[in-house]
Amino acid sequence: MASAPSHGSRASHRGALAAGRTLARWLVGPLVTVLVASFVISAALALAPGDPVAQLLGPRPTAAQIAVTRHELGLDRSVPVRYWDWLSGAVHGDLGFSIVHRDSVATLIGPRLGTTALLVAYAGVLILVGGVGLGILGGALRRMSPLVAAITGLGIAIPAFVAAQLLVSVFSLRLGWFPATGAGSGLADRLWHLTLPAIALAVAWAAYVAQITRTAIRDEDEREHVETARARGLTAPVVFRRHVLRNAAIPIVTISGLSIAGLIASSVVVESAFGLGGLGTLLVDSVTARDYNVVQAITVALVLVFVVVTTLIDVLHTMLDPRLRRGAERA
Amino acid sequence: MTPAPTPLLELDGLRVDLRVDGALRRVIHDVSLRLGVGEAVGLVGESGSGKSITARTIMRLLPRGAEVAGDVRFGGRSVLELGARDLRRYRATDVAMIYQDPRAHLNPVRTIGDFLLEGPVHAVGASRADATEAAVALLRSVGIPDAPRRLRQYPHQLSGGLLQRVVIAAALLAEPQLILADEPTTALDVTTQEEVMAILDDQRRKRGVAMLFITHDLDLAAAVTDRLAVMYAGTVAEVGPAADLHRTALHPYTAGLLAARPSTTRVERLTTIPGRPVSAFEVGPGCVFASRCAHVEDRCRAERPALRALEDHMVACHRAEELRGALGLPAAAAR
Ligand SMILES: Nc1ncnc2c1ncn2[C@@H]1O[C@H](COP(=O)(O)OP(=O)(O)OP(=O)(O)O)[C@@H](O)[C@H]1O
Ligand SMILES: [Mg+2]
Repeated sequence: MASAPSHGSRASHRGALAAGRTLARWLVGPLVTVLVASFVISAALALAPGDPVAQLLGPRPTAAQIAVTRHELGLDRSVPVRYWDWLSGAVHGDLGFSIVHRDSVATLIGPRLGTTALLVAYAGVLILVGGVGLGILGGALRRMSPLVAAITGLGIAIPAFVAAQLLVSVFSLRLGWFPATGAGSGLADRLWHLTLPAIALAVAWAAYVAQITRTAIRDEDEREHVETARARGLTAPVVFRRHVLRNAAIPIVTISGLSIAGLIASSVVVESAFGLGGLGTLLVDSVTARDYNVVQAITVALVLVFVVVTTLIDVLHTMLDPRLRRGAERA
Repeated sequence: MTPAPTPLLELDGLRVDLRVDGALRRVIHDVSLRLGVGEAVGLVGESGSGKSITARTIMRLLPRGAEVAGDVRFGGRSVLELGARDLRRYRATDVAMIYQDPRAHLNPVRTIGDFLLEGPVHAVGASRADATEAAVALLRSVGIPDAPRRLRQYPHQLSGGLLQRVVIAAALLAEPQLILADEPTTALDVTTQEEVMAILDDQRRKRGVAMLFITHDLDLAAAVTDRLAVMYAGTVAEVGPAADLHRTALHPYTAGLLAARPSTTRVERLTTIPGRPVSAFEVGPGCVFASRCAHVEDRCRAERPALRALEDHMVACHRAEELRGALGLPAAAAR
């Protein structure tokens, strides 16, 4: 850099400022979101109607019994105190105790988290490969476009539980290629077990992602700057890669990320349809049983994943779109 | 200025139909025009008269489903018949296009360097280093001194005037023989319009590049071009020397258009041509201007006049000889 020293130091100062802002945006912001959300969840559970103690002590407990149990469970303390306790435990990996399973929440969640994470990751890959791939095909090849539109239109209309039943009846009951239930053990066996669930989970989302991808590509294809590229004698593949796909990547990343976050929510249905015993099943059971420590842990985990995914989308956006970068104003 | 003996670009009886909601709609009826090597021709006419479509036909960049009849010849070769590879080479090295809105025509997520270099590197096959060197030199000659920094910047970091200079540099980088400039300064703010136009004019003259200059500004067109072609409803009404067309106009539409331009001393329009401009697909079998012409005859409504040579003009009017001299001062005559 041949610039004057004063200019250089100002630039580095600006750089430090930009780095600080970036840190705030991608670290502090999401962290605050998770904290606020976990507090709201904690408070909501504390104030929710129905008493876990009633569940625990059976039909007619005495007032003294109730008071003792409430005290043992820490339910007699104020909401902020309970939240603080939970939080200080959670950062050390202590998520409390399940009153139903009589075990620590962390031990309960551990194996189930693995199943759910694998299922969601598997479905996520299917969405990226199948959904984005199909969308690119439909967007790039004009002749494929109506076919892709028809397939995706159909795919979107299939709810996960219907897809699950269809897949089971064809691929496990009739053809016997895949197991109908169970999560399996060992990576290969688990992937084999999770194939049908992942497909059931991914179908509608992949179709949706394919539709958005296809329209994003076709919209981008009609942009003036793409015409400029053509007018300069670039070959169709170069124009497609450097301009059409490159720019369409911005909406594609958004929709793929959001759909993967959405998978987590819809995984509950698929887990119960295939008897996988993942986090979703545990969450539903725990809500019914008012096992609030488990509910809290799982919902906060969901929030955490969601925040991580949206932050990742944001980071990718900033990488893909220079207009979003700070310190990139007109100069 | 006399046109060069071998025309660089010839448009010959060009007719263009675009697909609008599945049906073909005629937007260009009959456009014939020649450009000599190094010659600048202005293409003027009201909005919708088909100027941009003409330019896009020359580039073969018409919307999908368009149908073209007639011929476009560049250096004697029919552009409409070029195969894919030859068409790419024609676009990459023979003709360059400059558009109205540089911001829309540059990819917002790619750097200025990417934009400048992708023509030479990806379309022509030059080395990156050579292309960079040429780009930096060109940016300097279009008045962008800190070129290396600019190459790393993105379009949103540059003003419209700077961006259009970048586009001009990109056009010149390909060392084309012809530049199609479609209202290259209209989208810029008034103070930079003149600068950018001066740079384009200067550079193209220095390098002997021909230019088809599309504009609404007749005075500007007269200043930077050798001849003016006046378009109306998808046809060329008249082609004549740019410098004194306002005195020598042979077509009633040319005379009306020149009289209607805003004066530099008085802001309001002096006269306007009565009636509304018609689109190419609305015109009947006769002269496209018949519905608005003050000198219309029965013959004008029945038979379309061909573009023919008269003096040093080309004119498409049945009554051009009779009206010669009578069109000179339409503003005064109208009063
Ligand atoms: N993509 C398109 N599809 C259908 N019709 C079009 C298309 N583009 C232009 N046209 C029509 O073609 C005719 C000529 O348009 P063109 O853009 O060439 O006009 P122009 O002379 O450049 O006008 P302006 O001065 O406003 O730029 C107009 O009637 C317009 O409506
Ligand atoms: Mg136009």
